Amino acid sequence: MPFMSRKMKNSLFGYLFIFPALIGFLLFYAWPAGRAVGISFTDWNLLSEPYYVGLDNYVDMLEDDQFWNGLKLSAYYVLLNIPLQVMLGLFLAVAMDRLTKSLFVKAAILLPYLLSNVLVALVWLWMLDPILGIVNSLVSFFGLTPQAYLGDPDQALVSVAAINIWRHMGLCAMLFLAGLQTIPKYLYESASLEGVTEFQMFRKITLPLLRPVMVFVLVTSVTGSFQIFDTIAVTTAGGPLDSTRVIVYYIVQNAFSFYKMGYASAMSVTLCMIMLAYTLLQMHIMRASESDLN
Amino acid sequence: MANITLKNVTKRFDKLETIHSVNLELCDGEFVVFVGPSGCGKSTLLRLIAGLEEITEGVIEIGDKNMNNIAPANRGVAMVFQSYALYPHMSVRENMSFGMEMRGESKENIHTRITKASHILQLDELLDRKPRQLSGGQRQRVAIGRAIVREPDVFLFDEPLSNLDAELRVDMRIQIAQLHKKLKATMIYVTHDQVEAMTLADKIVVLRAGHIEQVGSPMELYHNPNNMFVAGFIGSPKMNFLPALISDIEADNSVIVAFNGQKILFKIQSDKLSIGDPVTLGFRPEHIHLAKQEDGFHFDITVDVAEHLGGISYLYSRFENNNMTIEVSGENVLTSGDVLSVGIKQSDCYLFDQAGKTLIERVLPNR
Amino acid sequence: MILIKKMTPARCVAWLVLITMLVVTLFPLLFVAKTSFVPAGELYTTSTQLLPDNPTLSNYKKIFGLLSTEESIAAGGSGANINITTSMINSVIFTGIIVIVQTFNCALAAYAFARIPFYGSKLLFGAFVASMMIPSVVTLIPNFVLMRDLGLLNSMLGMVAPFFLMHGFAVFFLRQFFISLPKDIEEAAQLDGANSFMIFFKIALPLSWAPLMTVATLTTINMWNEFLWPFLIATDDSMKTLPVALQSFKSQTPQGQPDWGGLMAATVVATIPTIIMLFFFGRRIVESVQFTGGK
Ligand SMILES: Nc1ncnc2c1ncn2[C@@H]1O[C@H](COP(=O)(O)OP(=O)(O)OP(=O)(O)O)[C@@H](O)[C@H]1O
Ligand SMILES: [Mg+2]
Repeated sequence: MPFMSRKMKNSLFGYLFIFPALIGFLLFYAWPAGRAVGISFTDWNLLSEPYYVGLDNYVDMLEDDQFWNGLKLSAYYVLLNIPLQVMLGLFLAVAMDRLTKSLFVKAAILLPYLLSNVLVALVWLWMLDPILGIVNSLVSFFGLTPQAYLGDPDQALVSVAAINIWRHMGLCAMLFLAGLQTIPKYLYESASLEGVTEFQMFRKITLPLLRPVMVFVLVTSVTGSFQIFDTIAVTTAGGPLDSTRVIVYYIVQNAFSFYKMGYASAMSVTLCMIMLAYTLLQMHIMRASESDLN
Repeated sequence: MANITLKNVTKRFDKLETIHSVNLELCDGEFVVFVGPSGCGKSTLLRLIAGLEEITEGVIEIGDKNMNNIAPANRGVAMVFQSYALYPHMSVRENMSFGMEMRGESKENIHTRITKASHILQLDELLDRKPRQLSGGQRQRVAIGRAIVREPDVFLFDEPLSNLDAELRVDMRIQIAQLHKKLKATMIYVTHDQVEAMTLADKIVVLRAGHIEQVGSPMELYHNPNNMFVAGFIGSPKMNFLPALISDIEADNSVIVAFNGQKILFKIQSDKLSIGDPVTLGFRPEHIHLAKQEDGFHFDITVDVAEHLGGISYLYSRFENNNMTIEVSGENVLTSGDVLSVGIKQSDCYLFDQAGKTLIERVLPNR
Repeated sequence: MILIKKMTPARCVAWLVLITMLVVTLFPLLFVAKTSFVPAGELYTTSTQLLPDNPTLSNYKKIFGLLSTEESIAAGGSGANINITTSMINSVIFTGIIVIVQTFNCALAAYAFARIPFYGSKLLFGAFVASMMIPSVVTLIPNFVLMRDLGLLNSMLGMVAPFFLMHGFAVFFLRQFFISLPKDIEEAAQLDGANSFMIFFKIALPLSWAPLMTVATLTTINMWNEFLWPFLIATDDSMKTLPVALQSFKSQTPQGQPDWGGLMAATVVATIPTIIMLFFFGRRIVESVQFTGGK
């Protein structure tokens, strides 16, 4: 074999190993991320040549009520979605941790998450149908007024949030359950010997030790639900009266319905910056919240 | 020929230098043991020879061939790891044949070598088992078998027996000694175990903090340690060290050493001493007698703890402010608090200067 | 046993809540299943019933294309079409290609990052991990343009392209595992004359079934459910995956009443593979999902 230093040989092998992944990274992450910035400085409808417009798109964006409305709706959606989803998931996890190890229960609780957003949206579109849906039948049965849900501008976003809570609750529960199982049982045993009630144990032992999982769930579910799209595309298509035209929906609409590639890119780059800022902030908090176990 | 030569071998991990310009000469067919405290670089040196780590400076030769840029697999070495490092998903047979297959040996060749090795190591019954179905001792034998079938010029062992219990360890130690006799290959063996080192080695290499302190046969190191470190490291229990003074200097490289009010003449190899210099006396626990010796030191000790092991006892005691360990053979009823008068022959004493270097050369016992 | 020992009020409440949650989770799916067997004319009359009065398979026949257009309109269809068999097959191919190729590529890269010290490895690994933070909507437009320019719209290659080569999480996760493998096993193989590729294929991969399956399971879930990208690329019916086909089936009648019977039948059919997977690989799926939360 011709002479080759070990470092060179390692580098040759290293790059052979990562070659396919590296191509994927460059072609579908790094380059498009840069290109998105480039497109955002142009006016481009996909058909004609892109036309350089400088910062015009960003200026337009700042003056666009729909853009601000989209951001506001996404943020509002996160606020509707996350606290309830996390609380229900936590509650379910604690109950399952104490009551049952049954795989069937776990699988059933997780099932909605395993179905696609589209599927879940269809299920609830039917359930929430103002005339034929069972939800309104139940509502009338209890003597309340039937509602339009997804058809009512005041209720549409809340309904979408409810649908996603239904889909993600089980996922949250599973993540918390995994976290709960890392907490040593002797902590609870010694606490119960001292006559501490279950509720106090939850507050004083479970919650503090669950902090790392909590941070993980918060980071991923906040960034995830800020980018809500699928459910809205199926159920409301941004309506009624723009009441669910969240930011990602608005971006996709600009790009693929109005063919305003430059403008859509400007908004998506801005969204990326917001997400990045949020993630860095969260990571900062996360570093300050290393587990107290070990 | 598989003599091994290390010339100015230096190893740095990033900035941290862990092996400092080591020179070493090992003969073909020798059984060499590396000893030294934890972290002194024994494993690193072994891995440098194997080629698992790249040397930073210097030259490693095996059989007079420069190995610096030769891949580990082509150095003619086989290694037995402390953790055995068997391939968990392969049967014993596959574990042994893997290397030969990589080399493209013929099927029959592989078969005969495995048969031979498994016969030597009594692995015949185990060939189709997976490592997890084996006991610790069996795993270790498979690891050795995997090395044997490679038919290497050099065997490298990194604390191969340290995961085994005491009895198995003795057993395997003897097997390894027999193997060495049979195969006549060069073997380098890293251990923490005094007994393994003393019984197996043709040559012991004592390392400290990336330096070689001394190289020699077990008896050389026992009788003529270069310095206090080697003296303390070889022999068990450890040598006792006690402060003394040079009280007079005679003409022909002889000095009078004063200890506990007694003065005794030692022939030494240095002329740099002057009257009043502090020196250190070394007494091996097994050389201290429960009676005053003619031509030697004697002193009183207080027993702190007495350990009776049946045939011998260890007395952990104090002389003035120094700890003293004493080995007593035969049964006795000595116990904590006893005050004893003990003695040691002049010829059993070790003597070190202030820097810890030995001052006397003792004569090795001859057969 | 513990149950019987200590049935405190708190436990009773907890059980009650857990059971309620199970009902809330499963009931909608059962209700959808019921609807799929209801003939078109009886949707309203049976809307509050748990079982259909006159169960029928016509909804299923419709979505599998066993009825002609006239027949299906007569059976309450909207005239909308869904080729559920084709889209199911597309979904299987789409998911299958991505899961197999992506897991393999990521394992290769993860192994190199864990074990081979090559120039730039730290930097590249950091970049791979950082790629997880880029919202998909940012790369969406440039990636779409690229696919269009390469003529890959409405092709399977175009659909799998952004996914099948690399995924930041998979690389990160598998690297963690490879680092935890005992190094001396690989060193033994090195002494036995294996090069990096052989060590990877003959030693590291066979020892990594569990984490590889975890990654594959997670990717299967995500890709089976992926909507936006295939929705943009596969505009032709023959290329649509299940979520895309369901969405377009639903939206073919934006004004009039959707074909609920057909839609619910399609929903049931689309749910069945997930249930089957859950039945056979329940434990693996649950544990894989739980794994994502632990660093
Ligand atoms: N890969 C490495 N990177 C950095 N430092 C290392 C590496 N390997 C070993 N060292 C350092 O080199 C020194 C020698 O380590 P080595 O493993 O050779 O010691 P050892 O004599 O075998 O110890 P032990 O008896 O505990 O096995 C130690 O200080 C160790 O921390
Ligand atoms: Mg070591």
